[in-house]
Amino acid sequence: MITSHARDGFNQLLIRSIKGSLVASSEDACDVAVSHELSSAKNARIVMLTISSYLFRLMVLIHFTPDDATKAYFAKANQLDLSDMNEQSFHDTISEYGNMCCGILNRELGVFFPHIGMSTPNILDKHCASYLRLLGGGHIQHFAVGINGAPLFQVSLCVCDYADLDFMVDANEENSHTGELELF
Amino acid sequence: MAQILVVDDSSTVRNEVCDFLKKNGLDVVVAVDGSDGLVKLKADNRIKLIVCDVNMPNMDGLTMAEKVRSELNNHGVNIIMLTTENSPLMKERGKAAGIKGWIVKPFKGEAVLATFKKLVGV
Repeated sequence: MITSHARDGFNQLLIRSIKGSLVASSEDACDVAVSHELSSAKNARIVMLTISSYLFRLMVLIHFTPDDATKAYFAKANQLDLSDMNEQSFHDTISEYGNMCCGILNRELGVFFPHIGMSTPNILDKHCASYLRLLGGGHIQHFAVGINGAPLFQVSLCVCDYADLDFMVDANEENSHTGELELF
Repeated sequence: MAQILVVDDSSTVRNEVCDFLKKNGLDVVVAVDGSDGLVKLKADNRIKLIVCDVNMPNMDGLTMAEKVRSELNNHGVNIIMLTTENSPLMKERGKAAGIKGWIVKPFKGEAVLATFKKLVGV
């Protein structure tokens, strides 16, 4: 069973991770809102990562459409010309974004669950999202993500619990030490 | 010139790190995972520093670091992990393999350039 505190905690940490990894510059405003259904865009794809401990396995699915607006945002975020962004480099870029986002989530969850590990990103067809409910997750939540008021993509969180899960996130406490070299 | 080996499965990260290091006068080779990293290291005795991701397909970065010491018997090359991970358990494993340092992504080149140059003797 996943308590309501833990559900809120997973949601809160994922929203924090999305905001912490997506914004390319201080001028950009990132909005993340709970969404009750997934968009049915024709050519949508998914970046999927998993985070696992012996108490749970969670999946983060980033549903994106490889249209010009999405490519333009990620090209700008990586200081690339849009013309240089072919399908492969776009997939690599958005996969690395997923990696950064789940990296933050993984570190934040590591405070509560020390034995935790994260996968590398995988690109899936959008139809895979139809099977999300069949995984039997104890907590499934979708989010709509926008930049500067324009929708960018959606994110799904699916937590499969193998034991009772209960933890509470402090809304004011963020773990944001990145980019510094820790010498041993 | 001494080389830096950048090992990451993400071409986005490889390009970002390599571009920065090259712009700052450092010589760089790349590998796409731990297995590839071992091959590249074995083939080039000018490599003085490895900047390596942890989570990668085929062979992860910590396993690669362990094999650099145990299988290649290379105890001279400096190894720095560049990863989204920040787990104390992973850091302990890295320390046991003789890694020199740990950077949590994203890569902020200016923050580490002086140390990288010192480690490769430039």
